[in-house]
Amino acid sequence: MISCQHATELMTTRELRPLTLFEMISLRMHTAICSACSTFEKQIASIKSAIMNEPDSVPGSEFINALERAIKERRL
Amino acid sequence: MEIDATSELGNEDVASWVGLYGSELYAYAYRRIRSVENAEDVVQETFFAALKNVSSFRGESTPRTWLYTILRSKIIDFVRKAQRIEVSEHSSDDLDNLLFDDKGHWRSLAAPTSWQSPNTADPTESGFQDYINSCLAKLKPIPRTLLIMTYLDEVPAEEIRKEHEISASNYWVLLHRARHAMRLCIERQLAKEKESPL
Ligand SMILES: [Zn+2]
Repeated sequence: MISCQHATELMTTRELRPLTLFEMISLRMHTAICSACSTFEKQIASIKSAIMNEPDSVPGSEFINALERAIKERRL
Repeated sequence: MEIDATSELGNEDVASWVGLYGSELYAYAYRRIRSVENAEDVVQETFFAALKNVSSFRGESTPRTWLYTILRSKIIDFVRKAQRIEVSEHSSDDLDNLLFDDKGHWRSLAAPTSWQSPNTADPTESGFQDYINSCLAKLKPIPRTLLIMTYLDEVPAEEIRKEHEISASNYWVLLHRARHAMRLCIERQLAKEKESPL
């Protein structure tokens, strides 16, 4: 049985490469019986999806206008 | 937008690209950098660079594609110039000690417990998104950008890693620490909310 520390490490590794079958099974067996780590896994996933799905932000209109003016006036 | 390769491009053309593509380039930069000021800076530098090099733009790609290429390299420059951080192979020890005992079990105060706040039920809800942004802002620029770019599954994460001569194992450490730090930060924000309801 892997430790909680190792379980969270495998979750990070999974972001960078696919886990080996052995790693995958070790992790699944751990999260199946450890509520702290399965909670951790869900929370990390919701943070990830919030980071990925953040709505597009709009620049201030002054910024775009000022930049347009600056480009027009700037000598090549 | 059609470009007549025979005509000379100049200030007016680049200025018109600001109007056409400025907003989406800004959104692209902001999503990766998460700072209004810095996102404005890289977009401005992108258009200044475009103006400077406009004579070499031959219309082989669209202006939009060309601008994105410049923007991506400006984002990488931005991270390169950001405060250099020292990453030792053992830098995760402190965090590990805070979170886990010698056997690798969660310490009782650090063990994740379910987030009850309604805000977290839907990650797209604005309250949660605000916490995410304020916690991202607390990370140092390199871990922050690496975390975001890893999640967005982009090549620049790997480029930034190499630029900084961050070894693959240090990259892993930075990412791992950033993930734990984000989760702890969110948890603290939620605890604060519980203490002082509006
Ligand atoms: Zn566990």
